[in-house]
Amino acid sequence: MSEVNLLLEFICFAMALYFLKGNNDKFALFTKLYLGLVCVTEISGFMWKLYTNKSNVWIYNIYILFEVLYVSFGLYHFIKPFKKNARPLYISAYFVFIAVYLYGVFTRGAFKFQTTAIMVASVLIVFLCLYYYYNLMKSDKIISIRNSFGFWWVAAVLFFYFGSTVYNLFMNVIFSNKPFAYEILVYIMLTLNAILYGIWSYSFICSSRHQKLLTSSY
Amino acid sequence: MQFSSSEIVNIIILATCVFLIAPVFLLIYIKEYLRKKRVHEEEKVTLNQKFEAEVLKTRIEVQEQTMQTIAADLHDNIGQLLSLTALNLNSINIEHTEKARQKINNSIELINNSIRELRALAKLMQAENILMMGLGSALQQEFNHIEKTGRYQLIISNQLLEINFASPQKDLILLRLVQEIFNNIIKHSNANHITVNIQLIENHLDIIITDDGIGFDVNQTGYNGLGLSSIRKRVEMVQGTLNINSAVNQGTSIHIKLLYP
Repeated sequence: MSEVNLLLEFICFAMALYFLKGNNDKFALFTKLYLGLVCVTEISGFMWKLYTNKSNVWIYNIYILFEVLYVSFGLYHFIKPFKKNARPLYISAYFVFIAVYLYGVFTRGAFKFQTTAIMVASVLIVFLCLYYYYNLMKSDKIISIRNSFGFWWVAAVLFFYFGSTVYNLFMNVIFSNKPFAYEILVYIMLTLNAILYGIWSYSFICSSRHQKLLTSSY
Repeated sequence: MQFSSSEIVNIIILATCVFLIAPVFLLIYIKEYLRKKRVHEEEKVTLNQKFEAEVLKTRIEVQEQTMQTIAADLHDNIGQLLSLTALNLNSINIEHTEKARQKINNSIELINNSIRELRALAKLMQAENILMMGLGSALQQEFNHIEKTGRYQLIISNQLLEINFASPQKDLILLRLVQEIFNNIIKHSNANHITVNIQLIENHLDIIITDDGIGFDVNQTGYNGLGLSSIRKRVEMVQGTLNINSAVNQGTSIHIKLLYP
């Protein structure tokens, strides 16, 4: 299963490298770096498990810090044109996540999966996604949804974090008590990843179209 | 309560589906909302463009009307005065000093009259600039011009002369509206008396123009005949209401009501 996951992540990374190459935005650069990091993390986790036969959870525990940072930055980047002075909200959300994360590390240790921190991050990210759509609807600006980088990027995030609610809720219970359901959770995560990376790839195409439109209009 | 393995799997799948379907509907709703917003904005832009085009057309019509008035005045009034002056000066015989002085004095009087008429015309030529002085003054100028023909008796009550604010685009359209109504009266009504009552109560402007002409059957003509369609269209443009009361041989009363400025 992790091979399929890795393949999805590589495709998305390649799409980002190709379609965001003309985009000199800070966010486009972070996207490429982040997706590169996703691939590196996935390979490291895979290798660590393979060669040491020990839990690779600590790798993912480090990775989620960057994941939430990137997603928060992305959401802030896309809401900026519609809402001025939104930065404190996004910084606060990230610090709430960090506080819960550190609490988890101190109480449960760094080698246990930080499920509470991930749950809190999911709730905050879903809230910020809905906040983006609320401001998008309220704004006087007219956007073409079909070609909107922001709309699709946030849609992918909303699908992934809202859709992973059940996964997050059941993960702890199932890992410890119901190993028979483990496989279904893996499939769910695979589906969610496919949705996330699929829609993100489409959003990169939208960004490329927008860039082409901008350069052709000069 | 104990759940079997397959039940737990079903619950997980079902719950995940629900959590995935919710964003789908949310995004569909947002997409539809934004589509409607875009259509609404496009309609607003189209309406605005139509309005701008109509204002431009109105400006040209006001200019044409002014030109026609100037041409008629030059031909019928100033032209006649100057012809008479030329005739007078041609007939001077310098040997008859007293008669010559009288004719010269007459000619000076005629030239002075011509200058006065030319000054009045110059004011008319500034038909658009006149709007800078306010709609009240522009309309008063129109009324004065019609009164000067001596063909009609006008009773004017113009409250717009007392205000010191304006609405440039509405003013141009309203000036043209009144010009068109007067054109209709001159062309079709055969009236002798015209009453104009312009009232501004709070921010409601009422323009009532009544004549004692031959009138017409409103039910038969409707609001589209006799050049009334352009009046109706212009009233709609300034988001006002138009009410026409008329009957054969009983004169006509036109009432325009709108928010002003």
